[in-house]
Amino acid sequence: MRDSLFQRGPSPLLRLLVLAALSLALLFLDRNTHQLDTTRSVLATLLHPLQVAADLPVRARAWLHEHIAAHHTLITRNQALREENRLLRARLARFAALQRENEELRALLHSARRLETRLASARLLAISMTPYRQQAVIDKGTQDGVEVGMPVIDEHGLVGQIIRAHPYHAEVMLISDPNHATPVQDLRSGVRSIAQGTGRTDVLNLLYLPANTDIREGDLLVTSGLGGRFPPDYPVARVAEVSRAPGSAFAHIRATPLAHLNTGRKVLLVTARPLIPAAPPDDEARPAAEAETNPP
Amino acid sequence: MKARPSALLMLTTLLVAALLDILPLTAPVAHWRPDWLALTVLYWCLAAPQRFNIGSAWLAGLMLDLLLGGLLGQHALAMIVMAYPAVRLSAQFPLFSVLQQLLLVAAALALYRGMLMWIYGVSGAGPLDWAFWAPLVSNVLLWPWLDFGLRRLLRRGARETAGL
Repeated sequence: MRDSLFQRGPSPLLRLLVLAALSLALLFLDRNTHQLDTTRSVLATLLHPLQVAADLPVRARAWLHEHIAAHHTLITRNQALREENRLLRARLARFAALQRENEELRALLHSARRLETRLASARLLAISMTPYRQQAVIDKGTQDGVEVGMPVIDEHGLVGQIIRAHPYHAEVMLISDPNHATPVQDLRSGVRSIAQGTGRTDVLNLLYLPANTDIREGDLLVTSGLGGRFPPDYPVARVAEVSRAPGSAFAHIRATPLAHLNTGRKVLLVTARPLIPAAPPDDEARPAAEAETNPP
Repeated sequence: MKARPSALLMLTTLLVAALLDILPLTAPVAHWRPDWLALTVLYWCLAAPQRFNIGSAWLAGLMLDLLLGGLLGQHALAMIVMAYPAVRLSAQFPLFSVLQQLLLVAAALALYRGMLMWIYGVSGAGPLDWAFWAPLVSNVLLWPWLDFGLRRLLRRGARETAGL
């Protein structure tokens, strides 16, 4: 027996077909164009309170942990932090002098393409996102100056980049996402490569390196700055495993990201702009062969 | 006999289910997280197809897409593919035995997961392993409790409106 005795409106089959076609259209548009970005931003902002609510338990635990900590623990921690701060300041003082010297030398060499970077603090919400993707949500949005493409780092290394900026929050693609590729450079040998995510937080693959390439286990990989998305010289990963299969033309190299990619932590947003705007035109012609991301 | 659930009740249960879907879990437990929202959608499609139809299922799926930050439309499509047989079978569903009901629920959610897997595969997500199907087990285990709980909420709602 049909259940259509009291049914109003179009039949279930018609609804299914129309909405399935609509879903496929949405999937196609969202994957290949930017036409849905504004709509998506509005709807995502409306639903953001739900994400904040899901993050609350972790936040409450952190808050309790901080506020119920014993007095002497706080004093010890305070002293340790002061000590660390003093050391870092001392190191920074030298760094400022080195930076100035570096700028002067670069000016002499007419290779002025250093970037001035500014940092803003944000927090990764502790909520789970699409499984089999590596994404996260931060609690800052376009109202705080967040833009699509902004690099996200933590105190250990590169975390990822902003892929969608909404008014009060933003979505981050982590460097471990299978669709994310980071242009990197081996700090020891200067070899450049691309570190692609694998969908696991602890493994990146280095692509397109010949079998005789000069990369060893334990090497530090930093952003190369090629492609212009990430400023150069931020630590990304450490080489964990180099294997050279006899028959293969390419080396199989795996690296471990340095940044802590789990959620519920503080991160920093990097704004980079050229320090010296008037650079000679031939220095601007940077190789832009490597693209950072495929569209999500 | 079917009580007519209020829109408020349905919306509240859907929002709570969505919240449970994005609640942070540690990695090994997260693999077994049931599809809360899909289960809730399935329940309303079976219990009140006049009020909760394929259109509502689609909106719920869209909400999940926005919350999880994936491609727009992937959960929406999976939801309606699951909701269609549920709406068609809703009249007969209470007549089935408990075991048959569980089998149908498992089949509907397998349809949902299968659709998701296809979309993930096409849109280039990471490697899909056995863990992708793990939630099916927790879904089937959770269903009787969800069925029980939501039916009680539904009855209480019906009694309150009758008492007014």
